[in-house]
Amino acid sequence: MKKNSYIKISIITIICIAGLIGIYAIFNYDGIDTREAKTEIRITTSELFENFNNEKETSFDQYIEKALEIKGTLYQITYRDQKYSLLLRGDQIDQLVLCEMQVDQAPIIESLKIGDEVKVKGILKGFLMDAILLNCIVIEEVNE
Amino acid sequence: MNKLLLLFFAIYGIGFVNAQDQYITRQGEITFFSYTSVENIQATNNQVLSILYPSSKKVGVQILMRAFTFEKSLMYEHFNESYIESDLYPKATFEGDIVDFDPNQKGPQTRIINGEFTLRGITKPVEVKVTIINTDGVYSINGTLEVSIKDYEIKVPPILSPNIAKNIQVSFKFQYVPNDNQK
Repeated sequence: MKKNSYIKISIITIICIAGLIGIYAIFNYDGIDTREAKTEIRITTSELFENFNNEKETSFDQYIEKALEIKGTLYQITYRDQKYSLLLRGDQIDQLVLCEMQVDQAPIIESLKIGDEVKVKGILKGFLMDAILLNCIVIEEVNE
Repeated sequence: MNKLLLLFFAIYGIGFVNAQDQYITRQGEITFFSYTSVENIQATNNQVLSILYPSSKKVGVQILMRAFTFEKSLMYEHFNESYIESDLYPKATFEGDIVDFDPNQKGPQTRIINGEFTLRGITKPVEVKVTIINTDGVYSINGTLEVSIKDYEIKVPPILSPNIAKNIQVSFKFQYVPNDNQK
């Protein structure tokens, strides 16, 4: 009888601890790790805006909050709030891909030069004049 | 020419469609704060688009709601899915006239911008006090405003009501460059 009570108390205690760990994990989840996210589409900066500008902008709705790999020419590097952003350019003169990078990307970014061809992976948040991606990582640098 | 840029021109008329008179920031910063006794929430968006037209004293702003970053992912989900409904209303916009703005005055000048702020498809007139700084012909605009969640019909479930302030404090910082630099 006493043994059964101990078993019940132990099971309830384990369930409570697991529940608390689960709740803590939910409230402290820091979001998508771009490295782990499945790439939904691989595209160049030029192709991206060509499609977007040809009345196909709604076709990108399906990629919002999804991981994209985008290749383009490095136009500008900015730094704010301990985060770098890479601005990539294609054939369009007034449209860029803005990629706010993950903090751990700093050493890679510091080795990049304006004009480099780079491929980044990031989470698409949407479009204003430019395409906006957050949590980006550099996955390939092609010096030409 | 980008469609959004054309939209700005359409809104403001053709009188100031002069590339040399356009100043742009693609990475303006907006931070909002919700202070309550239960919880403080802060989010920042560093990808805000704004175009300034000094000679016509007009400014336009576009904000992608999903580009706000929060301390916790759960806050981000609540913000986009429950409060803002970003799938339906992905952008917020502001269009305004800067009262008594002197584009040639060097250094800081404190001015009022009268405009309209659209959030969740609801447009309300707003008056914003800003500091505009002209440093050798390059402009920056900083300021703050208060946004009432009631005005924009942001529905907070009763259980979370104590966690969300009725009035959200918003601060912004835009540093513009001449738009022809982008070409």
